Amino acid sequence: MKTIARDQPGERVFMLGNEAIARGLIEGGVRFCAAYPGNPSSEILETLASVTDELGIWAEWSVNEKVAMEGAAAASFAGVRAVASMKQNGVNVALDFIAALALSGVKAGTVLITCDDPGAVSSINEEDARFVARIADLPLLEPSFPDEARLMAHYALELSERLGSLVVLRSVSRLSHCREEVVLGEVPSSHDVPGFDLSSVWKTFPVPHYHRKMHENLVSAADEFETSPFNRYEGPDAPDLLVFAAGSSYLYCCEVLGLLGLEERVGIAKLSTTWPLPTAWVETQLARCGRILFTEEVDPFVEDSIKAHYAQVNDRLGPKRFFGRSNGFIPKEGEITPDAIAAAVVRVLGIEGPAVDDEYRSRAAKWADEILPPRAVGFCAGCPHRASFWSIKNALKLDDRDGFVSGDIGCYSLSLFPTGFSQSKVIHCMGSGSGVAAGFVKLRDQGFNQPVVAAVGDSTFFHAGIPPLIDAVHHGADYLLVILDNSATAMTGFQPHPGSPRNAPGAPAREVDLEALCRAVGASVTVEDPYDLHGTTETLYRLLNEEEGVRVLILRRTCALVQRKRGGFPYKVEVDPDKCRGEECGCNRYCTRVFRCPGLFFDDRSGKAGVDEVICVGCGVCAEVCPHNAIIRKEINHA
Amino acid sequence: MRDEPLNLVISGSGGQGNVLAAQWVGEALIRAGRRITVGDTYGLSQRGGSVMSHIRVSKERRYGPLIPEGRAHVILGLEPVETLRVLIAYGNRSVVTLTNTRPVYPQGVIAGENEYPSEERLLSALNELSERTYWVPATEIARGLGDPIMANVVMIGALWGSGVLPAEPSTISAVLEDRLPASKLEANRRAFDTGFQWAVDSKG
Amino acid sequence: MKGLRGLVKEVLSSGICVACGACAGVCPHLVFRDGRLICLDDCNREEGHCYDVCPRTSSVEPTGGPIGVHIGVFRAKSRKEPWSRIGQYGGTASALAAFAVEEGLVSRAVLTSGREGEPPAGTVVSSPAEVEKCAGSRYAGGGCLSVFNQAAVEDSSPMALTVLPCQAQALWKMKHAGANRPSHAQAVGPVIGLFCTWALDYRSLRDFLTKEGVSEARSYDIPPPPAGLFQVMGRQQQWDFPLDRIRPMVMKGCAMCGDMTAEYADLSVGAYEGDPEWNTVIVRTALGRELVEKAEAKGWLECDAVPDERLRHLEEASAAKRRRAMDGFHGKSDE
Repeated sequence: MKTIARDQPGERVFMLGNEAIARGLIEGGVRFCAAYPGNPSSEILETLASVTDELGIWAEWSVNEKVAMEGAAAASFAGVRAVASMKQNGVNVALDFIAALALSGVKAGTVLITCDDPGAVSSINEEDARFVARIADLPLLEPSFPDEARLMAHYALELSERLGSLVVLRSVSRLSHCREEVVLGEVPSSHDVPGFDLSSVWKTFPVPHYHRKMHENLVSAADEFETSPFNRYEGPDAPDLLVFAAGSSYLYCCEVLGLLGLEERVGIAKLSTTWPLPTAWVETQLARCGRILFTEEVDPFVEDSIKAHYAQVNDRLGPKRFFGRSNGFIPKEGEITPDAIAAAVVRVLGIEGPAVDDEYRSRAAKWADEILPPRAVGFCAGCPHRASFWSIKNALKLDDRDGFVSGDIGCYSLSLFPTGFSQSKVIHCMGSGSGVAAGFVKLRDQGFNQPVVAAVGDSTFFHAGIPPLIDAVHHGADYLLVILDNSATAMTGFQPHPGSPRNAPGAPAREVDLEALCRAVGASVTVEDPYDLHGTTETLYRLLNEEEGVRVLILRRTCALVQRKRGGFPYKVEVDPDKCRGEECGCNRYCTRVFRCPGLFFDDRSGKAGVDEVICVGCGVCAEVCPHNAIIRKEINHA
Repeated sequence: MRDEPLNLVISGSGGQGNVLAAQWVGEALIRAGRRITVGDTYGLSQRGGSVMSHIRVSKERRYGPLIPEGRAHVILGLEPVETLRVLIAYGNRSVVTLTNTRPVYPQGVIAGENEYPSEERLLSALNELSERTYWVPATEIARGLGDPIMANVVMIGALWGSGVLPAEPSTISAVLEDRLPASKLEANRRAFDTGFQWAVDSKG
Repeated sequence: MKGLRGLVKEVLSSGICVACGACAGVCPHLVFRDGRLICLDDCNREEGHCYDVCPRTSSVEPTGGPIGVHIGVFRAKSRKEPWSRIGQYGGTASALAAFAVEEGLVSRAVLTSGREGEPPAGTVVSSPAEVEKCAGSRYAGGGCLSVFNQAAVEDSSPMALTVLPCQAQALWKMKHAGANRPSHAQAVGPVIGLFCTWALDYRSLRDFLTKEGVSEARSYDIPPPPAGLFQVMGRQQQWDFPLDRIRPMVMKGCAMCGDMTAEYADLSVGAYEGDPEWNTVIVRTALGRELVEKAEAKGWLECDAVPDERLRHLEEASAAKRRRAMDGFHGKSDE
């Protein structure tokens, strides 16, 4: 049995924050798990999907977050505990349903997990998804470290069931991708058989009635939070400064006070039940001190809530000064760090900062300036997207009418950058590339005459790309939709999607036929292999030039990382130095300077290109790029 | 600098196996009775960006997943420029640095827009900013042992060989046994031992 | 900045490219496609063949006299079928190219082909039968020099070329400033220049004809003034368009060109005023004279003197184009 499903209370297991959340859900008896992949949330459902057979639970990669949330709600109505997990943007997608579900309430415990990405390391925005708790009047929990995340995930299911309300559990990258030893709890052994009770109705009408119920739920939740073990105060009774540390910032605060030697002067109010506020507890903390610092990820959510509450009770609590994200004591943008908290504490208290070795730091800075090259993200060696955008670039150039790409969300968003030849000019959210492309060409009658290519990945197309395609067909919009079908949700770790022949637990699943789907709504469909650069370019050029209406071009080629796992390519790629023209006129290191596959390098000493055999995956696409046939793709026999 | 907690950074370029290496090192240190927190930064990791894992090694306390700047005790780099990048942000006069010597060229270098520093310059920088530097030809060692993919295990061997960790080699051996299929265990053990011995012999 | 970036800045971006194709075909950055020269990628070389050979990167001076330096002017027509029938006017240009390959003066010739429904494009021919497929005027840039460039990479033996004035200028540059490409200098054989007042942007013409419902365009003609017409010939049908509707499609780079008679060619061939059975031929170099004399001796060409009055008209027309080019260069309207 996999560790994550083992019923061995007390066992210590070294696990990732997201695994700890999954474990907490298992300990809380979750039976239905749905998610759409997205960094940093993906490992939660991956973990749950790995133990579906052992635990007899359902786990799926839903087509999108809204459907995930809808599925979880149904499970709850049928009497089994459920979870829907997603990254911050997913909450926006699911929000329409969440807002209604908040009113109707739930039956069995149901948790919405959002994993936010402060600093937007792999996101298109830096969003604080905690807003959903306020918009939809939902209790919100923010664990600080993996073992607490395990406990709070379990607690969230219990609380939800007690209140009859969806509960939000919020993680961030630093918690989701933090590993520590977690102490296992019990795994429940018996479960109810799900069934729908015909005497129950799940609805939102009359709305004011349900709205009142939501507010009553919040009052109950706040009452419960007043004595929650997840909130605590650490520090002297009358500190010089009180830090409200929400969620993941708590451990940073502890460390910073240690480093600054301020443990006897500064107190930490660790707050992990962040909505609704346990106001009496908060007032107790506020009463300790006149200077309050807030540390939390992304927006001043707790900060604003506490300040708003303080405004009602300031006559009792006396004057306070508040510091945090809203007045820039903590930087308003970007991920919170121990260094940022230290700087804020030093500034508020007006004390000496931690000793800094200026001489060392300036030497380090000098080296950084002098020799440190930047490392930009880019498509992997052999990535089909590089080949696809190469052909898109060439076709749009050949077309010569200032055509451009309306991009979408996935690995191929990197087409904004030189690795994708800077082709995408518009990128916003899942599926938006198609809708935006259609919008441009609806201006044809007003004189908009540039060709528009929408480029979307297979998973993103299923997620949110289909309604805009239907809209475009219906309105006669003439754009070219390129579906970059690499048979994987590659960006987030190769999760299956509706076009895949297997489901989340790895069992066979029916593949949704992309071509048939697009044809059925009235688009023409062509399929090409993007590794065939010439063929793909010509097809693109033809589709740009000769046809009207919505044309779908599916560029189908398995993700190179997946291909590598399946045994790679049967080729060895080499450069013939006698044919390579290097920097001469007629080439000017075309393969490395323009095509930029990381499997290639340019040797300044010999003035020739070369193939990095550790990085090259052997796809051989560069052989077609070389203008002098100096790159040779040899077939090799796998032993 | 006091060594509670002991702060170790493992850095590399996307796809090099940074996260797995950090997990194994963390597990070994747990076997040595330490309390471990590992924080990974890998947003677009497989897409060739910089990746790093912070490992906090404490005798008893729980620490956060981020090391404050300038406070690393050990930097284990899987790629020379990424080693230097992390050293510049997290290094200090007493840091011990180990790096695989084999470059993974960044996009800008491949394209000719940026220069990759010469070995000589890199070594000067690493030496100047570290108390001890181990310049480990790990990929070449691993290739000599049959597969360059074992370079990270060579580096982990060197990490133990450098003597900076409060853990016996047996702790990491046990992790390798747990994690690797039997067919690959022997070769990886050799990779570990070779890296270990390389560090013992070179003394940094 | 005398590489591709210079070319882009001075020629491509400023819209004065005439799609001669001289810069294309030697490297992957530049290609000729459907009547246009397309820059696919940036190149940061500080010098390059592309810049060196472009007829627009430095002004090509008139060679002297209203119709350029020459050693003889006469009228000519082909004495052999099918050239007199299918060629433009007297079929001299086609006949000379066919003669050159047939008689082995060169092993290959570069011409512009343009089969119905297809864009004009350069083609390398090595037999009269292949020349036959290229006969007739295109009135649109064919970029045939990109094909010459490709052919020269493979084999630098001389090729005959039938080209427009701008292309003759490019070939002259290739021959005399071929530092980046010595093989290309060698490959330039006898250059047969065609008279030209302007050429059309192929894609604009294609789109215009599609819009006008022209279903087949086998060849084009502009009958002598004062007709003011652009004629499109199909198999069964002919379409006439007023020249004023065609002029907006003239390539911008043609307006600044003062070279009507292909002054940089070895010999130039064009219409002969008042008699569509004949061509005017201007012989400019010894190589050009040799080609014409051999063709005449072998019975491929019939040559005759040009009356002074006709010559004067030709000189006036050529001088007028020079004037218009200067005006265009100084920002005055071409018309």
